[in-house]
Amino acid sequence: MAIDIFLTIITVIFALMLVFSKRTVVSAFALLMTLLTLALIYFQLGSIFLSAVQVLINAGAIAILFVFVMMLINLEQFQNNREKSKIKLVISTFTMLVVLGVLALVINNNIETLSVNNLTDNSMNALFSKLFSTYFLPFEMATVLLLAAIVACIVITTHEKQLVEEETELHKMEPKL
Amino acid sequence: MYLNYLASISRYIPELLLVMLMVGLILIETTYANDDKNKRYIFITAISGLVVTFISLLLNLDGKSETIFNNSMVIDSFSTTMKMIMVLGTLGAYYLSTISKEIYESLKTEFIIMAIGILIGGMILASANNMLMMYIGIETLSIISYVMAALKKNDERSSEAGLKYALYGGISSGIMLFGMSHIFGVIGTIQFTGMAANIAKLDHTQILIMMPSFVLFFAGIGYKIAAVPFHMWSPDVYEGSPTPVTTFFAIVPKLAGISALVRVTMIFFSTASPLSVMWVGLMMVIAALTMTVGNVSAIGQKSVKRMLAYSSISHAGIMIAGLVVLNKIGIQAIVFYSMIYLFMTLVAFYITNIVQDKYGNDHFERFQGLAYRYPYMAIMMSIVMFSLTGLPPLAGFVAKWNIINSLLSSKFYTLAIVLVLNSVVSAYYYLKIVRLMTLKQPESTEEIEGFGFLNQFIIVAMTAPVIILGIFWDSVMNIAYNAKLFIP
Repeated sequence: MAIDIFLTIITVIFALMLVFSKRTVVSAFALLMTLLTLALIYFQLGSIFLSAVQVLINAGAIAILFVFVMMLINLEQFQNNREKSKIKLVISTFTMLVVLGVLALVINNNIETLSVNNLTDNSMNALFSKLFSTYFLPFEMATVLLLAAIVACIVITTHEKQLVEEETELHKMEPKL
Repeated sequence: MYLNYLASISRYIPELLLVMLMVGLILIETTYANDDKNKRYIFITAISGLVVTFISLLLNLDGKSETIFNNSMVIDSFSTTMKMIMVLGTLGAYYLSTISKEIYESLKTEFIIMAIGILIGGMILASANNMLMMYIGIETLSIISYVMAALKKNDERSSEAGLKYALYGGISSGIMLFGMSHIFGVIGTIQFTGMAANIAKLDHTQILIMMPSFVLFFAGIGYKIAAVPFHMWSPDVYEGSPTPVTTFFAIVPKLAGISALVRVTMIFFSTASPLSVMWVGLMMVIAALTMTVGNVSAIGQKSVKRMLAYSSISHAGIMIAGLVVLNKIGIQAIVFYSMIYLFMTLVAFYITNIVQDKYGNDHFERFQGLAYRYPYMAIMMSIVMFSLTGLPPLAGFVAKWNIINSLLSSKFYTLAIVLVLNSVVSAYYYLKIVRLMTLKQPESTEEIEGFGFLNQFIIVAMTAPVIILGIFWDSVMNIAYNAKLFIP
């Protein structure tokens, strides 16, 4: 129990850091840490597969993607442009109220929360036996989609000299009429 | 332990052949990329691979209808026929890409690799039997299409076409997924068979939720076939893409979307229910709108490619009109229409592309006096234009007549009248090309290199079915009559 509360507090601290930090790099780091501590909470609840997926996909791919985007567009130049406007205030108050209202509903109505029992079934085994029987074809066809998408990516991103030369030749042709 | 899918593979050979062809082409491309002499291996492999796929589909045609891979795909004569049409369309677009100057010389192999990827997606869509397969099919079709539209990388309009396609496509497949999740939430299964059985048991509230969900679901398919509320992308993309890509887009994704729509309609809505009434009403409105908007917008166009794009929108409308009757006659009419549409579209785009390669643009004026310089090509273009209008004794007339026949036999008089009126409107812009080709004097006497003997022969060979099927249509009609949907 104590470790649960400890993890939750850490997660909340990182989440707040993510929102209130002035530097974008710190925000990205806080996002990464939030996702990792969430994975730890899943692990603590006994759902090993979910925590592994959380680390691999959310922390490993998405958070790193944010860092890449920041490197590409140099976000630091925008960091001082935080305006305080009335619309922002109204929207944030409204969002806060909605979140609090949902929370109140959950607490009032005793909506069934996740219990340890729901998560500890051997979910990995069940998942993969489904994946290799009922959903075998969609699984395999997704790989074909990815292969074709890789070719498409290469086509759209290569920047060859040859292409430019061909293009200039085409331009020479055009003013025939 | 789970080896029962091995039994299904024997019915799945055409798709597997295409996957192997795609991988093989990637390997050949990497081996011979810098060797111009050996480029013909790529051509030979691609053509022979597609022909072998066509033959294996032909062998599949008479086989037993069944579901394979745990109900995720259904192999029946309808899906096999549609797949054969798609393979022929790919073959035609590929040959056009090899002779066209629109595709960069260094990207010609990539064209066919991506085209085969889209073809696989189209085949999945044509025989999808659950929501997941259908979504994977649509995504395979879409994601690669975005790049194909932008294949002419240094051209502004082509990049714009790719970006527009990606934006519209992403949003519409998101909307479709949203509708699917609603349907799944109410019915609780993604298998089409189970869903159809559960639809009959729904109460009024659930049907009320299902109605908008199915409209959202239609958004994804409607976008692929450019049905009217979702058609805005189509003229820009068709005009901006290189012409071989446009040819491909006008055939494969469109027919794949139509066959998915036919399957969904026949499985879910062929029994009477409030949902079926809603769906037929929706299809009627969409068919009438698609035909009318496509035809009316085509009138004012300057570019032939853009005109053909609008005309392909209106042809999609005609095919949807065959759907509202919800019986076999309508489906057979759609299958027959698709076959004729394939040949007409191919010839029209071939001639447009060859003229465009010569002059740098594809405005109507470029066709002036073609009859005096290349009489055979002018005759072929005229035949195709008359056939697209739907004049007897050409195949386009038979195809349209079948659709109207199915509409009249189920007493959808209004839609039949709209269809006939639209044919009259379409005559204006189709025959404009014929008028320019025959009655105006040529602008220049320069030779058009594209109209060599081989290319002229291929164009004549592709026009031949349009004439022959207009008179002797029994044999092909039999294939269409045998194209039955298998509803397990």
